[in-house]
Amino acid sequence: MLFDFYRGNSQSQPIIVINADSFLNKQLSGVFFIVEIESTHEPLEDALGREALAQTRIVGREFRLVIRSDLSEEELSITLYHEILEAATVASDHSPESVLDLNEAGFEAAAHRANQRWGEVSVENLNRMLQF
Amino acid sequence: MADHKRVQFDLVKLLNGERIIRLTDPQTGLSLEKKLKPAEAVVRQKDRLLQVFEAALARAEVIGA
Repeated sequence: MLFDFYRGNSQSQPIIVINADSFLNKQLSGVFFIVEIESTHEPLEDALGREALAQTRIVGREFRLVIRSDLSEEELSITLYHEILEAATVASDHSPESVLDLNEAGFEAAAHRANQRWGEVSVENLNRMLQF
Repeated sequence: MADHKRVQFDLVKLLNGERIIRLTDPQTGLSLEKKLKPAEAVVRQKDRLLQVFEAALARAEVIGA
């Protein structure tokens, strides 16, 4: 599946930005896999009806992501960096020292740094980030 | 002893920036959810919640046995 969304100044045609298929079933940090990325136009809500931007499900070493489709290109890239870094941290039995003290703002800052340093998210760039 | 390898984690990013972590045991349906404290390390909060969840799971298994 491909992400598609409308840029603010281009209202007629969706623009293909990130090919989500390129992330699927590729090894991340040698142990993790993204098995599904769903981009949804529907409002994303948690179990209590609170509006959400993204949800990542971790089952063993597999990640399944649902992300709102109305994010800008940069927001989408940063969101993917953030979700994968935090999911890899939560999925690890023994997290590396570099992420041990990260709170939510720390993960967001790390995602912004990754996006600034390596550019748009890709499997290669996720692996660079996950070298911790 | 509960097997934490079977525990499923959901990380939900709310629109207001808050983060929810939900632990679920698909076998029993037992689920535990908590809003992460923004100032505290995610790993420590996850480890504490996992301990609580595993204890609850073990208890549920004893009761159900």
